[in-house]
Amino acid sequence: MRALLALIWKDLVIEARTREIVTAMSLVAFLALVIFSLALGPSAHLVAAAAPAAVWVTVSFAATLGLARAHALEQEGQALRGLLMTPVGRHILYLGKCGANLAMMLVLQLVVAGAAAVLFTGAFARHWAGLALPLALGAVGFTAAGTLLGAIAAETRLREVLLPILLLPVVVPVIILSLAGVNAVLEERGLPELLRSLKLLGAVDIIFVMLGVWLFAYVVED
Amino acid sequence: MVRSADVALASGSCVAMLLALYGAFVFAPTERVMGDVQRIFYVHLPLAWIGFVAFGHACWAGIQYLRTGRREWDAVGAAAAEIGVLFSTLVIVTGSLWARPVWGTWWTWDPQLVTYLILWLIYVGYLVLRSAAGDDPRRARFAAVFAIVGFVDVPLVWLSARYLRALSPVIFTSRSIGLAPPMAWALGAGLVAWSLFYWALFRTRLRLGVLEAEVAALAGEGD
Amino acid sequence: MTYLFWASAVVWVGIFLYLYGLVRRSRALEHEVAALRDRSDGRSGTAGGRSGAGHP
Repeated sequence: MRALLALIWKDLVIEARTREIVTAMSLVAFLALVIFSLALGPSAHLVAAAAPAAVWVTVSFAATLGLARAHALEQEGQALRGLLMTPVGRHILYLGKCGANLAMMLVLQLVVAGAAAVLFTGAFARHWAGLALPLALGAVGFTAAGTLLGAIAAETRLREVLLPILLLPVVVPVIILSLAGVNAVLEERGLPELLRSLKLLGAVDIIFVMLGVWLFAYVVED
Repeated sequence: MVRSADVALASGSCVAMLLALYGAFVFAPTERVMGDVQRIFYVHLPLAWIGFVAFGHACWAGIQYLRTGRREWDAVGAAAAEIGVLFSTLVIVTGSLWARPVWGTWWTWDPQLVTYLILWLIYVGYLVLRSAAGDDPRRARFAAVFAIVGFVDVPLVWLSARYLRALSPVIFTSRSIGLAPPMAWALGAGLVAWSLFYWALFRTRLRLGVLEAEVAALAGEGD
Repeated sequence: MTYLFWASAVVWVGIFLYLYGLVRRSRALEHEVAALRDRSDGRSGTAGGRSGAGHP
């Protein structure tokens, strides 16, 4: 457990010092969001309806960029090789990377949701408490799959370009269910419906994490 | 080096395919609501089922490869996935061609079509991964992991698509068809024929994979 | 129905194209195997069975 926390802390400290990945991710997402809102035009109704979709689309692409970057950085510094030589279990390594990536993605979502509250619809700000859960659980599933597949993509010829190709189809259930939860909150359809989508989303998250814990060792062995 | 078992398989699948064609175009009655277009179903459904099984095959090969480390399993996975992509492409195209005259649109957000689209994207990604991943044994490991992740993902995609449909039934259309007994027979014949055909195709593709491994081994030796 | 025709056509043409591609790749690989075999036979013949960098 201590090793796990230490690993997460290490990645977060590195990120906090440079703020490189989170800044880049957030800027890309914000730009995409701006373009989205411009493209949707002046109709406030259309813009409000499209807000959840715009948020998840921009978050998906920015997070994929960020994940790919995070893995590339690790590869550049040969940090992974060093970590593999320690007696830390591979699943701890995986969970550690997941935890750090999750933290970064949550920050990204915060930035994007905040921007959407301004650019798209105030409903995002009004319902911020309810929105936190579907978005956060979505981030968990996304990073669970993204950490595993990012480790694969980083080692190939195509590097960062391969990660969207591999990750985005796989992560579709997470996006669909998270969006269902967001819509349930925004359209005020009541708690039971929100809980239903969250339960499904939670189950998907657990499956992805379990897959990652099992398969990460095979990806990083040499 | 074609073995007699393979010849038997190939001829068996040809015979079965002819029977299935007869069943689909002659034996089965014309459907009341959709007319003759519905006959696409006798090819579309078996292809869909076999396509899914092919990816299960690739997933199984992946698990076995990670467990045993034997190259043959990697060749099995590659062969199954490639044929699976072929069949999935055909499923999507035939599904589209069926949707157009029946519902007036080329695409619909039906859970089966959505799942198939994602399935297709995942396994095309698998093929891209194989070509970008460099050499064995790393490529085999990565491919195995991704085949497993992809296949586990498919039911998740289907369930989430169904959840979405349950929320807004207005957008989605239903694809249920009442199956009279002769139709069920035609469908069964199609399933058998396409299963045999898949098996024959798979063995051909597997031979190719074995050849590739041989080339890699010889090329490695010669340096 | 023309849709039925096109669906069947696509299926069979698609399969045929794939099989054709398989046969082509197969032939190319078989040639390569033969060529590699000849090369290694030739090398072991002239070099007296030694492998690796040596006199050309």
